[in-house]
Amino acid sequence: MPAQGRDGQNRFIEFAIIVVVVVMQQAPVSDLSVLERQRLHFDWQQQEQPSRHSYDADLCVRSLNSFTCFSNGLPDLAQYSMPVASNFEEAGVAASNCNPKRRKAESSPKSKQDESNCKRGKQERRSESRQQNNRKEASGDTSSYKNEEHPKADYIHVRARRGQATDSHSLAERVRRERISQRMKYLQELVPGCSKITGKAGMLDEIINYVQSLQRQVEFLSMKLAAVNPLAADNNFSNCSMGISSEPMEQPFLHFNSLQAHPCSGLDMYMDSSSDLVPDGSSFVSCSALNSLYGVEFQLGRGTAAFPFQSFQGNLLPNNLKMEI
Amino acid sequence: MQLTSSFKLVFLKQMLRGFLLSDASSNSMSFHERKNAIKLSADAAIAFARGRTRWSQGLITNLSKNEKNKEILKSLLGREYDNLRKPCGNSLKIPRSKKILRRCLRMCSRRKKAGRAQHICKSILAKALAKKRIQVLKKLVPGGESMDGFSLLDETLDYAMSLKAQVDVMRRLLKTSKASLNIKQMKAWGQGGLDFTAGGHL
Repeated sequence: MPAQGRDGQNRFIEFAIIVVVVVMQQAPVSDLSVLERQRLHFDWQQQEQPSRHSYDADLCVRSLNSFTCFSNGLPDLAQYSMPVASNFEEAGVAASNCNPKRRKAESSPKSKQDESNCKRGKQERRSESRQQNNRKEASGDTSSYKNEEHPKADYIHVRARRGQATDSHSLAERVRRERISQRMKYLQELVPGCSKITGKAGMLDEIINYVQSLQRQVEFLSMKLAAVNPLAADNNFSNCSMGISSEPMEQPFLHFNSLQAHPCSGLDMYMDSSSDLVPDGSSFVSCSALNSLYGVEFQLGRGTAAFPFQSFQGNLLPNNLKMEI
Repeated sequence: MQLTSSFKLVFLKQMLRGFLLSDASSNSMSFHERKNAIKLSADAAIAFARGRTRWSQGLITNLSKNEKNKEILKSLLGREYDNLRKPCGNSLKIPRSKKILRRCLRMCSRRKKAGRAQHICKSILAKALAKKRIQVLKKLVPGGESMDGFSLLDETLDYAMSLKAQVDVMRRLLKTSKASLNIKQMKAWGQGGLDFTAGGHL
């Protein structure tokens, strides 16, 4: 086959085009169009420019992969795959210095996703790893081929952008950087007041401050609870019905054990997240006293609007106070 | 996304159970003991409510180091205790990203010799700063030492949200108990069957 010369190759390519047209009528169009387009494009390139840089290396490997899976999928073309593959081999040899590194990048156990190579070759100039997931759905056809070929492939296949190094190290670095920046974005949304800060170090600073402040708040609140607790111990947790009005939920009740079977007040309180407690007599509190109660009912609901409150079984105390916070 | 009412409720329920179990409400403890018991219940409850994440496992492991707390944790968490007790034994730091970083730094220093000094210096400096902060973050997030860069950020996100929920619920609990305290006081004053039906919103 290598001895055929250019004429032979030309003729072969024409034949391949005819074959493509024939086969396209038999197989799903999208598959073939991608793969065939790739192959033909590569052949054309081979004739015109013997070697370019990363583009060629990538395309070569991609085409090899895609072509092998193509040939697996359509066995009637298998006999023709050999001569064309030889072209690829030549091209592979020509750009061989790039290839091993590419292979190394592929084989470095980067991580957790299977990617479909075939479809990706079509979109060379776009950024790689972040759109993997999006393209995964789109490449459902070719992925079946891919999975037969590389059932155990666990790599992220990263495409080098045009004009950038194909070094496995820099590729891995770029993947890592993109992942980190993605997570930084989420954290930026979480931490209040962080949208103006760019740069990793500043963001990390803010995150650290935020987590530290939250932890300190927990400490402080537990201290305050410890201070409040023994005094209100008898009636504090014996019957609490609290409405937590963050979101309306369909889960109406929750039972839990009371702290002490104490003939004392339970509370119906409907708390609003925004309001602050003003402890004076200008508030309704509903306490139903219980002697030996083991049931407490929670009720969720919006704190602001009209609320159905729970009165428990057995009001022993004459006082019924309703509190609405 | 995870700060739902049900999550907060589960947390609250567990925390109150923890108060029961650790007898936090009795007067027999000193102030500090009480505070520690409350904090223990709160932490265990938030880890329980969150389920199985790296930070929750690390949290339970840290809490279990104290023998006294172990019993309380066991009875509080029940079945979940074993699940949360850090089954993942990867306490080794994952060296992968470090190797790449080191190689990159080496290459950077090589390039630096070629004359692009300033640009590379900045990046090295930025990396060093970031590295320092990541170390601080690792100490903050429970179980953080054995995580690498990505998962650390993920866990930080998760942990921060859970902390927020924890603070929220505890604050409301505090409000409630303060209010109940005031009611008790009011009852003490108004003993004898007065009806407190004072009107008005807060």
